[in-house]
Amino acid sequence: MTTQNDNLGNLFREAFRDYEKQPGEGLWEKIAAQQPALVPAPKAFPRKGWYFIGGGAALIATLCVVYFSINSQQDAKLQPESAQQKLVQPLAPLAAAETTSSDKPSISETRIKEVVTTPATERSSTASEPSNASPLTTTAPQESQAEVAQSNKQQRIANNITPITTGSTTPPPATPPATLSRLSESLDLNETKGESGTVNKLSLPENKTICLGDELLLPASGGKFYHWSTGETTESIRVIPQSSTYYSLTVTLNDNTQKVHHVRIDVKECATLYIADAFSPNGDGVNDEFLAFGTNISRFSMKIYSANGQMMFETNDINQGWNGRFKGGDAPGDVYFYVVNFTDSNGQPFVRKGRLFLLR
Amino acid sequence: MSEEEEIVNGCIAGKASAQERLYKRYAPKMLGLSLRYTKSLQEAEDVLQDAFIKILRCIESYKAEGSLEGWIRKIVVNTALNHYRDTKRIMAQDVIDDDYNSVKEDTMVYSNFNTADLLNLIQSLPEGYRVVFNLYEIEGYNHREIGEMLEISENTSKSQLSKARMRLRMKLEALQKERIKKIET
Repeated sequence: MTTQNDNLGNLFREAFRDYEKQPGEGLWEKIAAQQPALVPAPKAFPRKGWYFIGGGAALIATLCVVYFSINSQQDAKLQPESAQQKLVQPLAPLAAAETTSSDKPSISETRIKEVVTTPATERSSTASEPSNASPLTTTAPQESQAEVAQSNKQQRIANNITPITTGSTTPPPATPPATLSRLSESLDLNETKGESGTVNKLSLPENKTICLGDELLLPASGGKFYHWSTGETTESIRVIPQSSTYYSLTVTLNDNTQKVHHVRIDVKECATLYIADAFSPNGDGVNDEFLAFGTNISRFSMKIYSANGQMMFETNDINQGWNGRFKGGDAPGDVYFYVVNFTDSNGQPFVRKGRLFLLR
Repeated sequence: MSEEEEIVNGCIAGKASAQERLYKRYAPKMLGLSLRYTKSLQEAEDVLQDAFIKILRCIESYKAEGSLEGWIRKIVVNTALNHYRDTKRIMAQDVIDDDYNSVKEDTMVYSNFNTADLLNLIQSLPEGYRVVFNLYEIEGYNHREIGEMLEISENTSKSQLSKARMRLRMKLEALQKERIKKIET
């Protein structure tokens, strides 16, 4: 069955040829735990390192001994030698432990200094980042507003989002012009204050027309709190209006002023057409016909062509589908093409073309 | 000494570092494999774990004749099969219907499916179908070999494969249907 025409097999073979998946974190540890421990896993540094560390520890120990003995001489207090060693000994493993965090083995004291200084420089470099970032936010160009507004939209229907501050839209009746100018001032303020380094610009949804049954995202951003007429308090909301609807949004800005925004969503009945791209006329009752279906369609015609351009099927009835028969025989499993002409309830014409797979 | 030999020798000597290298090198690919034989990532990781324990225990028996990956792959497949047997989901000696003869040439052009889609489809198959489909279509064993591996008849293997293919085709079809485009007016 693995013939050259075996597309199914090929599909899977190709897909999984180089398929990889990274195993979960702790899996190796589980496996390793099952291994008889013959040779322990080497530590992060080579064995040579031990000698250096040992040497370093010994050096510290001697230095300490010398230091204490000088001290004791100066203080004119006689301490027995053994007591000094007892004091010094616990220090050695400590020093060794500290040196392990560095990879260049040398005198321990200088190395400990390195260990101490590196975090400090790191801290200063990370601290400089925000201070670098804040001037950037203040100089962010005004044009970016449209980009910012667009970036968080996932509109199903193309539309133009015009930010309210550009003045190209009529402001909602409740908002006097004075508020608008105050708004833009406060926006500028917000931008310079932006701690996170992002530009806070107010963006509000626009009026638009959608098809009945469509879900629509009403996006807003740039404010502190949101209150929609639907009761939701999230930045953006998703709605599926069943008829033309006004939504209003009260935004609390970062300076605690409030802004009320109204958006009108018109709902109209659209023509929709669904066309599958494969069918299997094998009489099992599943997907045996190639059938288009849709809503609000007034006129309809469908033609199906074979790959070499021969018309296999034609109908003007949307409820009639192709059963895969052609001239008294079964049409072979292959790729075919369809052309569907239809008009919506307003008489506007549409054409859809595409390919379909006949599966045998 | 090639890297592979180095790893193998290290593993034979019981070096933890070599064992880890072996794991790091082959685990992602082998997890990709075991995922196809199981229903979930959890199950696949269990198989992978068992397989690697086996691999590390038996590494001495690996003869550098075939490729190391091939050898590892075989162990992972076997472990997956054991796992499948252990879970007592052995295919019933099912009635051999002759529909495997009805599998016709498959000329459908499949497109728009990514590996994740296909993995989902494989994982959604009944166990028996899935194992035979994997062994035959992807690992490339023939029905006689599969029959021996699973202790089933050659014909059962054929019929399982045929059913698996049928089911996959139906599922692919359904998936394509799901992705019908909607006209926006």
